Amino acid sequence: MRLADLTSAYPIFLLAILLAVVVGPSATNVAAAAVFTLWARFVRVVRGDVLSVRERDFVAMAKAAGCSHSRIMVRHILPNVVNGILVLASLQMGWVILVEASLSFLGAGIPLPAPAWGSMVAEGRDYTTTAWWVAAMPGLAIMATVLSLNILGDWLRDKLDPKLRSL
Amino acid sequence: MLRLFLGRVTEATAALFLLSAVVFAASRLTGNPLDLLLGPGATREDYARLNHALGLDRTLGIQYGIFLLNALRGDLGTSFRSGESVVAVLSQHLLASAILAAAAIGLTWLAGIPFGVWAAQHRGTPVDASVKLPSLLGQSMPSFWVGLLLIEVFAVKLGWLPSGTNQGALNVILPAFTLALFGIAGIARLLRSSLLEVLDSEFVTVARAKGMPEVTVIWKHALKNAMFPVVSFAGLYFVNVMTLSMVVEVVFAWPGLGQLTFNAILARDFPVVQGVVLVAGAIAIAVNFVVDVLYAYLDPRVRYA
Repeated sequence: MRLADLTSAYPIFLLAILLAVVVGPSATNVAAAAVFTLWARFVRVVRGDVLSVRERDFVAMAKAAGCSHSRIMVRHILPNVVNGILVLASLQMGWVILVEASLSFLGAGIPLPAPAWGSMVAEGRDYTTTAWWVAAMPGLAIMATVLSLNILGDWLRDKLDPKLRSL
Repeated sequence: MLRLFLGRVTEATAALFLLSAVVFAASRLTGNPLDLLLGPGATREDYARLNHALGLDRTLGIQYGIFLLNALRGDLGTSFRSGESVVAVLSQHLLASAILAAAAIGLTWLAGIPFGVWAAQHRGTPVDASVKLPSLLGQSMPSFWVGLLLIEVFAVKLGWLPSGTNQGALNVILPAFTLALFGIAGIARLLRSSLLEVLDSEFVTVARAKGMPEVTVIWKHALKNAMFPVVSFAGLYFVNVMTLSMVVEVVFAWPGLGQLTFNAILARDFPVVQGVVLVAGAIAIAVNFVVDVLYAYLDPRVRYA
C-alpha cells in the first residue's frame, strides 16, 4: 500500500515523456507510463472492497464448509469486487485517452506514420486559417469518445456501486 | 499531529528517492554517454580517462550517489542543444510556467465554487442540468484542441484577445482559461455532490430553523464543511494542471517549461528533459505533501484517525 501511495502522486505525463526521449516514442511506452501511475488507484479500490466483503456472513459460511483460501478468494470474494474494478476502469479510460492524445500531439506518443487523433490535430494546426476542419474534426472525435466513456462510467457507477460516487 | 506530519515527511522523501532512481535509471538507458561526449576520433585512452573522470568506472550504487549529490547541489548537467547548464535553462522558464499555473488555478476556484454551489442549490432543476452538462464536456475535451479553437475564435476571427506572448497581462487570459476549464468542471461537480450531502445534515436544519437567511446557511455554515473533498482534490488537481500546461504552453507559444520540454523532445536533448522531469516531479510531490498536511490540519477526523 505504501508503494501505491508513492507512485500515485507522480504525473503520468512526465514519465511518458521521459520514456519517449530515452527509448523513442511508442504506444508501449504510453501504456507502461499509464500502468505505472494508475495501478495504485485500482489497488486502493479493490483493497477497500475486499476488506468489507470478507467480513460478510457468506465468507464465514464458505470457510466453515471447508473451502480453501483460493476458492474463497476466486469464487466468493472476486465476483463481489468486480463492480468496483469495472467502474474505475471505465472512468480512467477517458483520462488515459486524453493523456495519450496530448502526448501524440507533442510527438511523444504514438509515432508517425501510425494514425493517432492527437498527431492529426497537430498536423492540422498549420492549416487552421484555410481549412479549420483538419484540426477540428480529430479533436471532436477525441471529445466524443471520452465523453461517451465518462457517461458510461457515471452510469455504471450509479447502477453497480453507488458508494464510489466520490471518484 | 506530529506523528502524521513525520509520516508524511517520510512518504514524501521516499517518493523523491523513487523519482530520482527512475530518472537515474533512464539516464543510464540512453546508451554510453562517452560516445556523445567524445567524437568518433577518440582513442582508447581518451575513453579510459573520461570514464574515470566522470566516475563511470565505479559501481552503479556509487554512481547513483554522485548523481544525487550533484542534483542536490543544483548540478543537473548541460543541455546538448544550447550548451548552457540545465538549471539555468530551467530557471529561465520556471517563472512563466508559475504565472500561468497560478492564473489557471485562481480562475478555477473563482469559477468552480460558485458554479458548484449554484448547481447544488437548484438540484434537479434545469439549472442543475445546465451546470452538469458543461462540466461533463469540460472533462472530456483535449485541452490542446480547446486552445486551438479559442485562438481561432477569440484571437483570429473576433480579435478580442491576444494569442501571442508580447501583449502584457492580457496574454494570460486564453491559456489560463484553457487550463482552468478542466478544473472548473471537476470542482463544480465535486462541490455539488458534497454540498448536497452536507445540506442534508442536522446542523443545517437547525441553522434554517433559527431563521437564518439561506445565503448565510450555505456560504457560511454548509460550504466550510463541503470544502473538504475539494481541498483534498487540490493536490491531484495541481498535478493535472502541470500535465495539461505542458501541452497548452505549446499551443499558445507560452515561454514556460512545457514549451522547453517540447523543444527538448524534438531535439532529443536528454539532460533538459531529465531536469524537467526531476524538478516538476519534485514540485508535484512537494505540493501533495503540503495539501496532505493542510488537510489533516483542517479536518480533525483525518488528524485523529
